[in-house]
Amino acid sequence: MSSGLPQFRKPPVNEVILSSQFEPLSLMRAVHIGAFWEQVRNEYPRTEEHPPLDPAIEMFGAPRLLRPEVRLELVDQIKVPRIWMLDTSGAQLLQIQTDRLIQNWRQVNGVGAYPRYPFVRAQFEQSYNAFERFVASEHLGEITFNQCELTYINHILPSAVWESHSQIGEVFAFWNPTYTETPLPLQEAATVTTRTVLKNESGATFGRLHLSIQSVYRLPDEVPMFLLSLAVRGAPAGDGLPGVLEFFDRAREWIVRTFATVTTSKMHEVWERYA
Amino acid sequence: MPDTVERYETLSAQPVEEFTDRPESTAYFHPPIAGQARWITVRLTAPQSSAWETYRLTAPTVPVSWAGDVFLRLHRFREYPKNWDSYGGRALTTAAYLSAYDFLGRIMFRPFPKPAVVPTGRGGVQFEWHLKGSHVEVYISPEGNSEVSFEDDLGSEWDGPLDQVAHRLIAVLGNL
Repeated sequence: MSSGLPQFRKPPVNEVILSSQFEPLSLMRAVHIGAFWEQVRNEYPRTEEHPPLDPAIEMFGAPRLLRPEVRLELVDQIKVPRIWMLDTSGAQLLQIQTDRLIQNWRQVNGVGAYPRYPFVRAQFEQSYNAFERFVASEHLGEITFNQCELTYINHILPSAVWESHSQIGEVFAFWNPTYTETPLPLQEAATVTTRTVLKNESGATFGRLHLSIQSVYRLPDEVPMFLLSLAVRGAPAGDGLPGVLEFFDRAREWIVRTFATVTTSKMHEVWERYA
Repeated sequence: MPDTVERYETLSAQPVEEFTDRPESTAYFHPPIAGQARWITVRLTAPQSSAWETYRLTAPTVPVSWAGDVFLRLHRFREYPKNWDSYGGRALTTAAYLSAYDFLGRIMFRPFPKPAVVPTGRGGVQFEWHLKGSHVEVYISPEGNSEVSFEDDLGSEWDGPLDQVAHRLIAVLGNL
């Protein structure tokens, strides 16, 4: 499936997130997540508590009007938390809440080689299978997936190609540094976001690609950096885990191809592109 | 997404003293349900553009009194057990909930009468107004798609996807 994809020996990937969302398991409480943690504690010995993520569904059709959105929250509602389960290094992260299972790989303090997509995908599969068995054994309901999201976060650091944010045109192919006949001052900072509706081979809507570029400074050393986030979100490609994994595979193709398209060939050399 | 900006507004006619020391200027209102003291935060999120400032000058910012009740009903539908209607009924799906929530946000700052809000067995939800000889229904499917249908006692009728007939819906509700 991934034949012909651009390949890099040293991609600037800092984090990969495989997120699955399902209809809420309304019987699940915090104690259930704790009981599940006991089953995976050897692999993920550390935990953290975080507020649950809000549900999100990509909707397609007529473009949304430019208008404020209203947010309503029940102040007194006791929410089941989102629990982070981390390995000893902090690089492998499993997140569980009543309507999501998320598998992350991330660099910690800029250290750690990207283990590649098949590894993170296998981690997700393993975590989901364990979680599904737990949900069944505790009679917490059926897991009905309604949305998937694959995210790649890239940290693009200075190199022989660029050293200042003003050289954004050396990093991103769509940025034309000679777009005006009148020289303008160099850009101090830049933020770019795009959204793209993705279709599959038959022309049906597959999902939406969210691209985000921000010029930032890495902490604590304040090295300039471009943060490139690519996320694809949409409905699973079919029922159950196979449908989720198929979505991730397709989303990964879109993300890798988009990454290669929006970045310059000079940067590809830095990242040692070989295919 | 980072292309939005949040602003907090004093929306309520009934601000609550004990919450006014919160860092953000958020407002609350009582959902009009007897014996149920639940608080609801309301805040607006807008695209990061000058459109927000334009909106602030023209838009009403106090929600109608029934908004909290409808919001709580949507919450309850989401927690319905499987087979809640003894016909295999499903709880409100996430997609339907989010669309209904969005729709509520579109109508809760206008002086419209309170709709009846009823769940469908398949996981969708319907907003209904039956007043003054007019019958308006907004059906939100389990997939989150919204359809509007209208008919009145004089024989007039029309229907269509919400995004295409929103202006007609707003006009009709404004006359109820």
